[in-house]
Amino acid sequence: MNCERCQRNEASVFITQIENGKRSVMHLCSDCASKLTISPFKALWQQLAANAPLGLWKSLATSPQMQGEAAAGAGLACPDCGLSYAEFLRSGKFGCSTCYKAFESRLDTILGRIQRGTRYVGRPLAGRQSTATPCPPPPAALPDTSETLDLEPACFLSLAPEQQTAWISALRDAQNEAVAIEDYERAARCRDAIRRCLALQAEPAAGEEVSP
Amino acid sequence: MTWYLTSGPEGDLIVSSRIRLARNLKDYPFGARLTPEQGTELLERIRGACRASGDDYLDVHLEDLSPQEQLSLVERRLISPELLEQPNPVGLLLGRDESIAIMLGEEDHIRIQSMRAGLDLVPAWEAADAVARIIESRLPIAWSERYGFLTACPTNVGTGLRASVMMHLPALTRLGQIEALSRNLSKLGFTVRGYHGEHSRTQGCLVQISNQLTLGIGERDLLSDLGQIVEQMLQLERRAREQAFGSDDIRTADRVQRAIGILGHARLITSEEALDLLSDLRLGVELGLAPGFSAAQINSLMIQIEPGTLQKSAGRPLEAPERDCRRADILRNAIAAGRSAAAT
Ligand SMILES: [Zn+2]
Ligand SMILES: [Zn+2]
Repeated sequence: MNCERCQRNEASVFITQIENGKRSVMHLCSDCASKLTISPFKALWQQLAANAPLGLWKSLATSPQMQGEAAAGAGLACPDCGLSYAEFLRSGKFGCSTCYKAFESRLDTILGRIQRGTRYVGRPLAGRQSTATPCPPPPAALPDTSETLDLEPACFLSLAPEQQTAWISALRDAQNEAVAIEDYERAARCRDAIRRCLALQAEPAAGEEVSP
Repeated sequence: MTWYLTSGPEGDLIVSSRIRLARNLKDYPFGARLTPEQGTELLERIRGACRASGDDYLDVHLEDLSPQEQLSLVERRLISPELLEQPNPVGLLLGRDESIAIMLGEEDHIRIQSMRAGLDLVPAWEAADAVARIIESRLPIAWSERYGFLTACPTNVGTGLRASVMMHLPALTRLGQIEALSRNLSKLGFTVRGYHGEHSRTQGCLVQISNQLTLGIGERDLLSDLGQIVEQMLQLERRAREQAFGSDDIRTADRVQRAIGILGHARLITSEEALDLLSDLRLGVELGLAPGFSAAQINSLMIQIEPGTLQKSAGRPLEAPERDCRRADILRNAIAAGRSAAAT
């Protein structure tokens, strides 16, 4: 059966309409059905269309509103990654987190067009006021006191690999020094701390071989 | 529970809910601008922080996987296709039931994804947020008081939260309303996409709705907005069903039974045809016209019949005709099982 409206496409939609108490069935193709304003949808579309229009980046970057934007931000560039403002406008991508500071003077305009607002209203960054203690920056040198030879395991694991290696070799040096001055108690503490670090490094690796 | 092996709240019309949170580390350029050395170091630091959380993750080394295995991860929605195209080192940490997947080294350094069956946005977000909090408290995160979480793309800055709901909308699709829906929802800050993501046409009457806005709106408000849009879509779909199918029961029953007939007997079937027929079967489940079958079963079949997952379970690459044949085998077996379940 062909569509009643265009008489061309196969009818795939059967719409029942009740007008003045009279039932009629329309046979339409989906093209035609989408062009007709079907009663239950009409109200919803109107309600939705009443809200402020928002654009995606692609349509935004080429829009007349944005014509002056490159000129307004001329000369801006990120000191960390070198991204220029013009490049940012072209790609729609920041190069690093410092870009946000570097382009701050233009961001309210940009973000105002593609976002609901220009200020953050989500939850705060975790780990600042929360109970979880953030890891201290990796220690530059090994402390003299024996109590602090161990890093918290979680903090040790959060170090970059070369920082982990540096920490372990600092422990080794301390162990050798302790042996040299016959402080065997401290040497043993160092040895144990090294063992714990090596165990931490080795432990998760066992589970890594499994394929999904 | 793995989302595609089950069905959740409003499971008759809603396939799955998904949350993605984007986070970046300070002091490293964003994804594609990382040098290989920076990328490797970054990945190690993130892996370390996740290990330290005490949560049990599978550390998936994507570079060691075959192309079929990689594709299967995309089909199961565990990674984005973009992750495989990054020039820099990438990684994947997978929660044991696949409900949490952490992509490393995509456009943003860290993308935490949480997936649930049915309409289950808030629990899905809470699960992802718990992981995010651990990472935030262990690593120096790119964050500002003014803009919140800083991301590579200004469309993700703020909460870095993308929430998506996959819905089955056969009546709205048949009435040709999806395009109008998409146009109008984009004015509200929501995107409508097909089953296979960004640029895909609607397949199997499956439509994914997600938010575009991440700044100037809080997480819970956003989720409640999306939830309300989804509720409205459900109502529209139910009303549209009366129009599209309700006036003609025999036509709908015919459609469902034809789908069962073809799925139960075909020897070769493309994934496109299969998805469309599974949509008819799902409609049958939703209308009580297909005893012995369930939404959960259809969710699982949809994944099993995708090219990558088919080849992964075969353990080798398969040419298209061979895939069509295996796909038909899987579907015939499933239909036979459903029929015998209905008979008992
Ligand atoms: Zn027509
Ligand atoms: Zn930068």
